[in-house]
Amino acid sequence: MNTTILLVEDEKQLSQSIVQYLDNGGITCIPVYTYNAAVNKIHDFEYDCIVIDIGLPDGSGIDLIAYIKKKKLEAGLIIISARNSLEDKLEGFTTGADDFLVKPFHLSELNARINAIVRRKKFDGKETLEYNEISIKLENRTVFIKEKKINLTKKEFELLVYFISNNNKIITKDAIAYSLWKNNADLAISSDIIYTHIKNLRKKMVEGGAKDYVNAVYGIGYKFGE
Amino acid sequence: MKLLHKNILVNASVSLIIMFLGGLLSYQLIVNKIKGESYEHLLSEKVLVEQKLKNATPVSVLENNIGDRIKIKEIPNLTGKKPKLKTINSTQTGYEEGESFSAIEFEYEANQKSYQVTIIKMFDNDEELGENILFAEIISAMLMVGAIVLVNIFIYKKLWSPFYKILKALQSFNISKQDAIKLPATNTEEFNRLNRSITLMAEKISRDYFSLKEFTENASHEIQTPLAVINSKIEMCLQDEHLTPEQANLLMEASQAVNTLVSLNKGLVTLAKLDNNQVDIPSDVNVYEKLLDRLNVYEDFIQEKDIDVRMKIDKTVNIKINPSFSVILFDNLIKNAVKHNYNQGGKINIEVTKEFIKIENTGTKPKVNTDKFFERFYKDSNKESLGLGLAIVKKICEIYGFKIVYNYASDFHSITLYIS
Repeated sequence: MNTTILLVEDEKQLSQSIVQYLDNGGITCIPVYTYNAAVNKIHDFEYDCIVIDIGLPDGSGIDLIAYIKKKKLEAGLIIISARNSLEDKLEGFTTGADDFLVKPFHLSELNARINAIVRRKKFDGKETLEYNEISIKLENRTVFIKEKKINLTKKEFELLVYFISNNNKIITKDAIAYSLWKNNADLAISSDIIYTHIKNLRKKMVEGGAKDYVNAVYGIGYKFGE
Repeated sequence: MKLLHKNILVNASVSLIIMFLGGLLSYQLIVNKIKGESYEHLLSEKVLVEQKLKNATPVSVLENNIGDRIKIKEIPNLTGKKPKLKTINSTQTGYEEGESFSAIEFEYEANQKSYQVTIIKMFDNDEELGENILFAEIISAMLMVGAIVLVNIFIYKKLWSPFYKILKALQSFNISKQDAIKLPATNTEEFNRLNRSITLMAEKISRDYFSLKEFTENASHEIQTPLAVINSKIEMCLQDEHLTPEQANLLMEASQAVNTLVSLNKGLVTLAKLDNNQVDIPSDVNVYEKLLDRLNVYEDFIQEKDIDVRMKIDKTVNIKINPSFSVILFDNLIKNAVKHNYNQGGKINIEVTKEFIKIENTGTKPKVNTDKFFERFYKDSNKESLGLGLAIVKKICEIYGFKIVYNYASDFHSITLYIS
C-alpha cells in the first residue's frame, strides 16, 4: 500500500517529526507550512490523505477543507488542532473532515488514524488488513489466523489494529492508553488494564496459532513485529 | 435594616425627643403662668377680705362666699407671721382626693380682733391642665411620627427609586455576559454621577475580563503546540534502537511530565469553560440513564479492578442540567470512585433519590484534611491525580445549586449531591 499524504502544519518542528515518523512506516509525506502553499500543492498529486492544522498563519484550515471539498478531491481529511472545543470539532466535521485529532497527540495515533482513513477511502472499508499469518476484515471486525477465526473483544481488536498500523515501532503505554480509552487514558495508565488486555490478546493470538509478535520494551511500552 | 427604616427611626426618635422636651417646657411655662396668676388673684382677694373684715362684715358671710373658699379663724393675738402662699391638698379641704389647690394664709387685725385667714383658690386644677397638655402632646407626637413615616416613604418611592433601579441593575449584571449594564435615566445629579461611574467601571471590568479570558484561552491553546512538539520529539527518540535503558527511562519521565501538563491544561480549560458558563442550556437529564451510560464507559476499569457496583436508583429522577456538563459531572464522580478504590475487589454504591445522588466507594482512609477535597490542585498523596476532578464537580454543582458533601465512614468515601 503506497500512500502519499499532504501535511499542512505551520509548526516546522512538529511537521518534521510527523514526516519522519510516517516515512519510517512507508507513508510518503509532503509537508507545507501555509494555506497558500497547500492550495498550490493540492493539485500536484492525488493524495490519499491531507492532514490539516486549523490555525495556519495565512488562513484557516477549515477554509482549506471547504476549498478541497469544492474541488471535489478524493483525499481523506484529518484535522489536527490545538483547540479541543465541541464547536471546533462540529465545524470541522460539518465542513467535511473525516477525523479530528487534538494536539498534542502521539505520532502512533496519527499514523493509525491516517492508515484507517486511507483504508476506508481506498477500499470502502472492505479491506483486509494483513500481517503475515494474521488477516483482519475491518468491515465486520473479524480476525483470522491462517484462515481460522479467533474471537477478540472490542478492545483487543482495536489494540491489534493499532499494533499492526504501527508495526515495528515502539509504542508507549500512554499512546495505547489514549488510543483505546481516550479521555480516560490517565485511569488506564494508573491501572494494570493495558497489561491485562495485551496479555489476553497475546494469549488468544498464540493459542490461535499466530507467532507472538508483541514485545514488551522495558520501561517504555511495546513493539509489534518479528 | 433598610435605609428607609433607619431614616424613619432617626427622624422619629429625634422628633419625639424634641417634642418631649418642648412639651415639658411649655407645660412648665403654662403652669408657672397659671400659678402666678392665681397668686395674684389670691393677693387681690386678700385685699378684698381685709377690706370686708375692716368693714365688720360678719365672718359667716365671708365664709359663705361663692367662689373661692375662705376660712377665717379668730386668734387671740397676732403671731406676726407673714402672709404665706402655699399649696394645700384635698384632705385639708374635704374635696376630691388627689387634688391640690393654691391658697394664701395670712393674719389680720381689724376692729380689735385678730384673725387667721386662709383663702383657697377653687377651680385652678394644674393636674388636669397637665393631663390635657400631655394628651395634646401625645396626639401631636403621633401625628408627627405618622407624617415622618409617610414623608419618608414618599421620599423613598420618589427620590430614591433610581437608586433601587441601579441596585437591581447591578445585581443582575453578569460579567461573563457581553451585554452592557443598563442603568435608569434620572434627573438627580448624584444618581447621574453614580450611573456614569458604574457604567465606566463595568465597561472597564468587562474589557479586562474578556481580554484576560481571551489571553487565558489563547495561552492554553498556544501551550498545546509546543507540548505536541516535545511529545513528538520524545516519541521519535524512543524509536532509536541504540537507546540505553537509562536514556529510555529519562525520556519516559519527561514524557510523563508532558502528559501531566497536557491533562492539567485540559482540566483548567474545562474549569474556565464552566466558570464562564456561557452556553448553558439546561434540560431535563434522567439520572438513571445518564449514570448507566457513563458507567458503561468505565466498564473496562470496573472489571479490571473487580469492583462490585451496586445501585439503588429511583429511575424517575431528573435533574435540570446542561447535558454535556452532566457527562463531565458523572464521569468525574465515577472516575473518582474507580481511581481511589482498592486495587482489587472494591465496592461502589450508587444511590439516587429525589433528594440526593450519592456515590460511595471503598478506599483507604484519607490522610489529610477532607474539607479541602473540592479545592483545585488538592490531592491526597496520590501523585497520579491532578486534583482537578472534584473541583470540576464542585463547580458544576455550584452552577446548578446542588449542595455537595464529602464523608468518610467505615471504609467508604461518599460524595453526596443534594439535588432538590
